[in-house]
Amino acid sequence: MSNQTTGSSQGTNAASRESLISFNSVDKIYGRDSAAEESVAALEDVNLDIERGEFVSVVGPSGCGKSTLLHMAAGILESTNGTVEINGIAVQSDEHQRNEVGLVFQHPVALEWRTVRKNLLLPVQILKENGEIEGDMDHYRERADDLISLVGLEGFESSYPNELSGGMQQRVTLTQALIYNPSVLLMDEPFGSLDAMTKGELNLELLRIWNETEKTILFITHDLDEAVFLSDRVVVLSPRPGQIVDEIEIDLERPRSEDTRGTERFVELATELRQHFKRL
Amino acid sequence: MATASNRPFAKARQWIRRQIPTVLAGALFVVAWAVIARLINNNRIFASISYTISGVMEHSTDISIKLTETFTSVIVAFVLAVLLGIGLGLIVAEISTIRQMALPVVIFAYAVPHPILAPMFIIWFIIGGDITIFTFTGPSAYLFDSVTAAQAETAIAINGVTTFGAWVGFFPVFISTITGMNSLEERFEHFGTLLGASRWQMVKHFRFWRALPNITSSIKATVQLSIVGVIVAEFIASSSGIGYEIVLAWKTNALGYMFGVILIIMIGAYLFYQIVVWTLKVLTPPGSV
Amino acid sequence: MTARDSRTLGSRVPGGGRISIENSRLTRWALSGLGVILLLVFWQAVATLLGLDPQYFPSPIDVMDALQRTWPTLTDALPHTLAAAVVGYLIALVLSIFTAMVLVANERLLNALMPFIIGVNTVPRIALTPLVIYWVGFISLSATFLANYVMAVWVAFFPMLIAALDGFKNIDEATENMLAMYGATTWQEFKFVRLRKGLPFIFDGMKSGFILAMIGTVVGEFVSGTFGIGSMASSVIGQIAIGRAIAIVLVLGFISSGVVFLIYQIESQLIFWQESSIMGEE
Ligand SMILES: Nc1ncnc2c1ncn2[C@@H]1O[C@H](COP(=O)(O)OP(=O)(O)O)[C@@H](O)[C@H]1O
Ligand SMILES: [Mg+2]
Repeated sequence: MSNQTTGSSQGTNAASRESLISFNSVDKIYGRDSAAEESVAALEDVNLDIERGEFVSVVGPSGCGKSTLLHMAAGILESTNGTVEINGIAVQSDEHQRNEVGLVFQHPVALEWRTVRKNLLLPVQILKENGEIEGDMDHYRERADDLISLVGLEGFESSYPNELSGGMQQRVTLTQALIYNPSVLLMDEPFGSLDAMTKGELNLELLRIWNETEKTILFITHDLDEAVFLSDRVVVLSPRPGQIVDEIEIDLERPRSEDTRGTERFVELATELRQHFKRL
Repeated sequence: MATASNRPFAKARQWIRRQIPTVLAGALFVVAWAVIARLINNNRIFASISYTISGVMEHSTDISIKLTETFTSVIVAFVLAVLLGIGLGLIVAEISTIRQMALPVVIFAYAVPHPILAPMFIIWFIIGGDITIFTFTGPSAYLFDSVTAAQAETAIAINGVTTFGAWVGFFPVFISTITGMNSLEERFEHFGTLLGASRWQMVKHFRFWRALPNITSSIKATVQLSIVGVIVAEFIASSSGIGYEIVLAWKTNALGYMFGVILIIMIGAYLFYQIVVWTLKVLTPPGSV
Repeated sequence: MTARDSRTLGSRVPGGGRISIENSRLTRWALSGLGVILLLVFWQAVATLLGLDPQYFPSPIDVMDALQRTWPTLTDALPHTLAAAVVGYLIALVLSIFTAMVLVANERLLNALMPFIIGVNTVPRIALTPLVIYWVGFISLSATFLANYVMAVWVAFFPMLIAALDGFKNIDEATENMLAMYGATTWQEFKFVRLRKGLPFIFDGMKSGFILAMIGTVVGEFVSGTFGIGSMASSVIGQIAIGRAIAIVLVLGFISSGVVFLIYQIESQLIFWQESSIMGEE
């Protein structure tokens, strides 16, 4: 499907016209079908639209349903009520295009017996076998080399994951999501387990990649400064059951650099976000 | 909300719920047995439930006496295995030179198919004689009028059967004691150094407790292994225990009796296992089992 | 230090557990060798100095003597025992991996059968030996030796099945999510992840499985008396020939440790991303 025509040709309601990702009155209740456990309402009535090219962060206390939200967009989880659409197509429907969505996991999921390069090509292998993406393998091999240099992993192509540091493993996971060039990147606290230095570095790199590749990013974090630094918009979820309680536009200038964190506006926005949090 | 008074009730309900798969599997087993027996319809190939029951009834006093003998041996073997396993494990784990020197022997002893050692154990006690710790009158004398106290007399003894059972059951405990003791996290190691703990204090306060979960899980394996050891030894040490009864049933083509004895061993093994697990749970801190 | 380095140095990553080894490889080999030699010397010294009767308490030299004398019978008997153990082992291995794959792919079936599998695995399966012999003998009296094959399968199958099940199910949530995310099929799950993640477990099962297959065969021979190492060993009881008993143990023990060591070698070659151990993760 051609991306440009989506909005104009089949726009029936105003909200989905420009939005690439949209959550429509989404509820998620865990353990409803199994009698043994108690059911847990993780998310309640979530409405969220994300435009093409936008960088949106979701923040909220731990256990409020952030990962749940993301996993529904990734097609890993089914919503209990409401729909999640990407490009106007319900994620759970058969027409859903897996090649449109990439997911960067909280922890590296590199397989220990594959080299960096082979780990990077794993999604391609699976998606190609299932006819979800086209193009020959050589094309993706070249792309893999490009990505390896994009995230600064040159020289480590043939290394195995347990020979890499945590930060480097997370870079591999990032390239895994980029290899088949999805237009949507879903990121679940991707830098949560890294030290502050590495995190700052990868933040800058992510912005650079985002800028170069024009992805739409839904980013989850519990680090408020990180959310402000990266995003166009920050969405605040309440404690469980997660509901959207606030949205803050981040009007910081782009491109952003390490210096952005020192600007008055940055401090203002970060403080404002903290206030929102206190009110929860 | 659970109040203090209905909490045990909820616990009991939870316990019952957990037993459902086992009970179901048991029921399914009985049904399958009945169906297969009906289909084959030949007690010489596959004993029916009623044929098995009559086979057991016919030999009930024998079974009772031999079963007491076997499970007494199993308990002796089990206790020996656990005590020796933990004791030797502690020593070997603590002294790395011994550990390294013992390694080839340990690997050999682990890899050798243990039944091949049974004749050795049995011969030694034929030569040296059993070491009887004490004897008691088994329950068979009280259960059956026809059984005299002398017939039901059971010995708690160190003999070929019990030492072999102990040998078979010894290994998991021994190995897991060493493994567990050596997997103490470094921070505790540092903590101990900081406090100036002696080697024995390290063992007493840290290493042993670190090894406890490993040990309890290996003790569960030892339950089965000491039973296996005792039965295998009984197979070849003629005329002793329930193991020999199965061989006898086979030699006399008494299939109902054979089915019955095997089933009783299985049930006995299951009960013994449950008792040991329960005892471990009571004796050790929460989370160790 | 990366895992690779520690592998080539032969030292262990801290906190690894198992029988840990901190000295250099050479010292370790030397110590192990010294242990064996010390044991033999001590044994010989005790036997000689105390003047023990070699029929009851043979010295290592007496054992070697006994070994030499039983060697011809032993080499006649070995092929029978090994054939039953190896064939039974291979059947059990293939069967266990195949069954585990089917069960892991069908979670319902797995849940339904799990109590049964655990149950059979926790009872002393060896107690069924006479029954197995009886049944095989019922089919054909001249083929009683086949009971030893069946025993090898019967004893080795369930632990290997459980090892394979544990292995194939050993997949963390993150990897599971990744597979769901890319829409991997069941077969792709096995091909790309489960078969590899399961390998360490399967190898642990293979090591103990071989010993178990030998155990099944030997006990089968004990009871049925068919020609083989097992029946040779049990006949030693009547003759009170302890030297021969020890000789038989040594031969079978060396074969068995050799096979276990071989499996371990293959394992450590194949599974380069983590450490393997001879005695498995117990
Ligand atoms: N598979 C599950 N079954 C039951 N409850 C779950 C499951 N996954 C998550 N939850 C619950 O749902 C809530 C939200 O989880 P999650 O989305 O992981 O939170 P977050 O990512 O914001 O920390 C938590 O309270 C968690 O306990
Ligand atoms: Mg989360």
